[in-house]
Amino acid sequence: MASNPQTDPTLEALVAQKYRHGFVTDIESDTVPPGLDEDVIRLISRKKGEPQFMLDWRLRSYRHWLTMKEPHWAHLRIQPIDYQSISYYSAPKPKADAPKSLEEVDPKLLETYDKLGIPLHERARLAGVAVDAVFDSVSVATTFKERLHKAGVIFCSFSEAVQKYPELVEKYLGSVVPYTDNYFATLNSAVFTDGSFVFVPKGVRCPMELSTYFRINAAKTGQFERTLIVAEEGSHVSYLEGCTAPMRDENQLHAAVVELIALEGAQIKYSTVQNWYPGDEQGRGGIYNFVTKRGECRGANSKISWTQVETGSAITWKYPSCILTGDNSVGEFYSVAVANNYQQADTGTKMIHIGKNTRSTIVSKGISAGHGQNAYRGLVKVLPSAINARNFTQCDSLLMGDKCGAHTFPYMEVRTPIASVEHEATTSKIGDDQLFYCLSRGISEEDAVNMIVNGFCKAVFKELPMEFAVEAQNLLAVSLEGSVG
Amino acid sequence: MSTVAAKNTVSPLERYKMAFESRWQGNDELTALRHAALEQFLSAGFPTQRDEAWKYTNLRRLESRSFTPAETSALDAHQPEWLATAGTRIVLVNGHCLPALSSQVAQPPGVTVLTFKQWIEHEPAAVAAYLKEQDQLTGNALEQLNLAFFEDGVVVNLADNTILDEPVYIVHQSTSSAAQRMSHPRIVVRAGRNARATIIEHYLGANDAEYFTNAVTRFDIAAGGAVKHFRVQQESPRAFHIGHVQTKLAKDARFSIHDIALGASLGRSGITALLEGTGAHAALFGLFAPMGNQHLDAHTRLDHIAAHTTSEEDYRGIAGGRARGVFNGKVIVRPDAQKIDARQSSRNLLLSPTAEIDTKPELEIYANDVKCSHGATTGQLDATALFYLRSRGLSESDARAALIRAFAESILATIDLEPVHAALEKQIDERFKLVNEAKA
Amino acid sequence: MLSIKNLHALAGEKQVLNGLDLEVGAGEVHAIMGPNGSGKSTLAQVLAGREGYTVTGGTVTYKGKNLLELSPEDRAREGVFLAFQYPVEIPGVNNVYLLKAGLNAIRKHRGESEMDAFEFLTLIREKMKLMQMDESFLNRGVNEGFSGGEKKRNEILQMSVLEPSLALLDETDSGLDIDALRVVAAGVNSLRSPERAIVLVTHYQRLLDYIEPDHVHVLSGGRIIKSGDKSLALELEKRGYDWVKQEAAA
Repeated sequence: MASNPQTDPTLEALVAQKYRHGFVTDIESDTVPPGLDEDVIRLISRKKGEPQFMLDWRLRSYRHWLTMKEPHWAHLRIQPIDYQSISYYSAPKPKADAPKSLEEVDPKLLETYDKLGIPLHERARLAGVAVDAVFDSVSVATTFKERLHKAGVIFCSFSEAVQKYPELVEKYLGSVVPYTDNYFATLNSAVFTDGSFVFVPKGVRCPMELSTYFRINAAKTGQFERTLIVAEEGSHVSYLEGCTAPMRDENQLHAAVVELIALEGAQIKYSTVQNWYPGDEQGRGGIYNFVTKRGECRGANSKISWTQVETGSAITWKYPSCILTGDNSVGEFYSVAVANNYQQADTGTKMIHIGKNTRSTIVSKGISAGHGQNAYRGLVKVLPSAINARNFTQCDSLLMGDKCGAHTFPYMEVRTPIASVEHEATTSKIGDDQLFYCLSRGISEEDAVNMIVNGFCKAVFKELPMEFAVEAQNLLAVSLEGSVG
Repeated sequence: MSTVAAKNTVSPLERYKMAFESRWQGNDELTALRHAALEQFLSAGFPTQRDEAWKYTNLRRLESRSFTPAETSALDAHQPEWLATAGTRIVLVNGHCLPALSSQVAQPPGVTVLTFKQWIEHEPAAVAAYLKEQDQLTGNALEQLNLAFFEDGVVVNLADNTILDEPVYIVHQSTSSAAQRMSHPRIVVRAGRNARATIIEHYLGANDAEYFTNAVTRFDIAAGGAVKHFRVQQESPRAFHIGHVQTKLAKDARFSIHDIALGASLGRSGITALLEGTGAHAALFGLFAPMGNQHLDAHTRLDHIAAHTTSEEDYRGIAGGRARGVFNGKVIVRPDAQKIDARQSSRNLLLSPTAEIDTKPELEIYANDVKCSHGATTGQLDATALFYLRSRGLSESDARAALIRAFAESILATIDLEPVHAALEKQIDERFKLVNEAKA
Repeated sequence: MLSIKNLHALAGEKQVLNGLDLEVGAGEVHAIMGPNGSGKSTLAQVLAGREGYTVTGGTVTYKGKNLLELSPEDRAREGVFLAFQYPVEIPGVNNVYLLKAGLNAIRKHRGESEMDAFEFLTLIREKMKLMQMDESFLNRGVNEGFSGGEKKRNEILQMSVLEPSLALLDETDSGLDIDALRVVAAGVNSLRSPERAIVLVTHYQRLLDYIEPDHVHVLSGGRIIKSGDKSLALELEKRGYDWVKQEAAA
């Protein structure tokens, strides 16, 4: 069956390896000393040559951040974060000017992407994927600009957008995630260095999948990228994001913000495969992945769909959400989250139903292994105006090993009787009888477990673009390595 | 003039302190315990909505009142009906036992039923020791408040292998003289090995009185014991009712609760079952049906501490008018508590565009060999079913009432004690007929 | 092909098999009958290597090898197939995928080349026709949402694809209506061959009207207490099991 990538012959090879992306690229970085104050923010803004409104916005965010308290960690064990020991700006040092084409990009950097298995150059073209690669916080090069340009689609680094399309940035930045939103989003608003910007004009169907790879390379840096996607009336766009980081003993902070805006009839599909360094078997090191992702279906009949496969990070704390403002708008959230060794994942979504006939679907699959703790936390809120709103939530947890935990915290707040909200959840281990059934058909235990786990996640994987689905399955096998048998 | 001014400067918590000091003096062990509990309450204060367990229930209105301890009184001329059950009936009026209204039947050997006051009189040291062990360090602020202020209640002890065929029926009656007063009844049921009993608690209040009931009920079920508990809350529509039920289950013990909440302006039942012995089983059934401006909150916690324990839970909520219903149920499976089977279901019905239901079913699981599931739905009456009934000639209001009744029935059907079942069916029917007539 | 000698086994902690002897030759069809609780299903599970069943004595030799030493998957690869009484549902795992993975593991074990997707689909379509199974089956999860009859048909389909040397059918007739029973029986009959042995475990004689056995054994108290030809099955149907037990006790 061609539709069944489960037979990938490289699976065994993948299972045998450790964290694949754990190398450090030796590149001269332009890194500001650790610490945060208004001068650092002014420095970041100046280095990026930003207009005044950006600096003002950053400073407003920073001043607000100073008044805020770190969130209370309901279900996470966490080392305190020293915000003054983080370097808030780390960019590959420019040779002369910013690279204008791939040829001008530092070859060592390109090598890095090769090692990551995302050769910007070859594979991107073959795959028809436009890649915007963010390396420690600065966008390096964006491919396929021209083809997109013809279609009228803007896909560039955030810094470039600030320079070239300041009016669009000013109009939409912070309109879904205000700078006051939460501790990490506010910090991001003050210090973010780069990210991606996508603008799909009215009626345009983006001719290719857009893709960004993020990587944290330099030590003692945080990554604070910002993504803003605006889909005008009737437009369509599918956006993929992949994340990796090298192995380091200390924890690193990643606090990104993603804002999506879908106007009338527009559709945005946002897929993430997150594989930040999860820490070692003893739980040393790893990324703290505290991300605010939110989309607003601002226009009628619009749709936002989040799909995520979260296999990495020491701690993941993210709730990609949909504000369903427009009538008949649709929000979707499909998630696979893995917590192995000492990983902790606290993830889920918020679906806020405001418009009439709004619909949302939540499918969450949590896998816990080793000492991993995996929590689903989700909110479905139906306001009185959301007549005929519908939600369905399916939330399943799979436990592998007797030291891990699986937790489900759904919140349902319903304020109109003409609505229906349904939540179902199950928690169980891999069934002995399922395993035995596969074994008795001649399949090895390891393959049987991979099959069952992939089957468990299928409802989510089928939402991913094909290429990503294969990568996601491979990652799943790698991150569960050693947790079965 | 001066009293008004004074009132405004005294904080809510200080009022409790003053009420306490005017009531409890002396330096016996029990008073010391009360004092410690009060201190805990004062330092914690009333829970706020920042507290996850109280996210959907705001106690500010309760906090703003200055309730003083209630005194016993004669019954009102008009009062809600008591259930006609066989067996022992014990009546507490405004939190104090009234022997004249209670009917003691001869208990089988091994069964003792006494009032808390009697227990304190006879065995003050045992009472203090019991409370110290069970309550001093556990429990939330409001349970501490009960410990500080409780005066009376009921104590049921069942020796090993005793079987109580008839239920013990405990009436908590608040009269019109309870207005602006508070009572803190406390019920203790200790079932020995293989003992069996059925306990009914019925909370009732005079129609227009605003008062505060803060009840604590404790069950301790030894190996092989079985306790069935019916809890019917029909307080005055202006009352505040906070109930705390906690059950400890030893090996192979069984516990079921039927938690029905219809009354009170603000009502909350907190039900906790601690499954401490293997083979223990707890079943939680509940129905809450806030109407008008009522706020009813069901808060449950099933704690699987030992391996091979099972639980089932089925709660239903119906909210109409401008009412708000809350269900928050947590299932915990402790590390190494393997072979757990836990099922939880929460179904909710919204009858009006101004009503709200908030549900939060939680699973917190630290062991792998488990089968846990929960389901929660919130919706409206099924339009197709409504149409079907009307096409067969039922009026819209009858059809609605029939469907509401059908929705409630799955909980009512678990009530296998006829007088309780019959009374509740009647209550539900009257309640929703009223709603429908008001709508028509 | 299969030789069971003095087999003792526990199901959980309960002694279920108490000195069972059975010889099955290639090309033969054996029916094992017996009342509920006699140990029929335990025998099938022990032969397939299910966890939770402990062999406490005796030997099982299959094609000259000690079967009890093999893992469940190796037994399957050596040609032992168990049609489950209660086939398990595995959500999200595709039927075809499971079968292809199983078949290729077995072929590899035998030193044969693996089948590609096209060859495999041709094969399975042909087998599905035999079992009168709907095309939609290809896209469904393993036994997911199947009716009782569909699950049993799926078991026989798997058997016909995997082509075992020794097929153990555990209560394959239970829960089948008469039409489904005919289809299942036809499927089994089509697999009868001089190289293959089939062991039917059943409570009722009904199945044997469609699959004619060469030998019939009565299992009771964890031992075979009487053996005969197919006429024994008819007699059991008429007279029940008690007389055999009494005869054995005498």
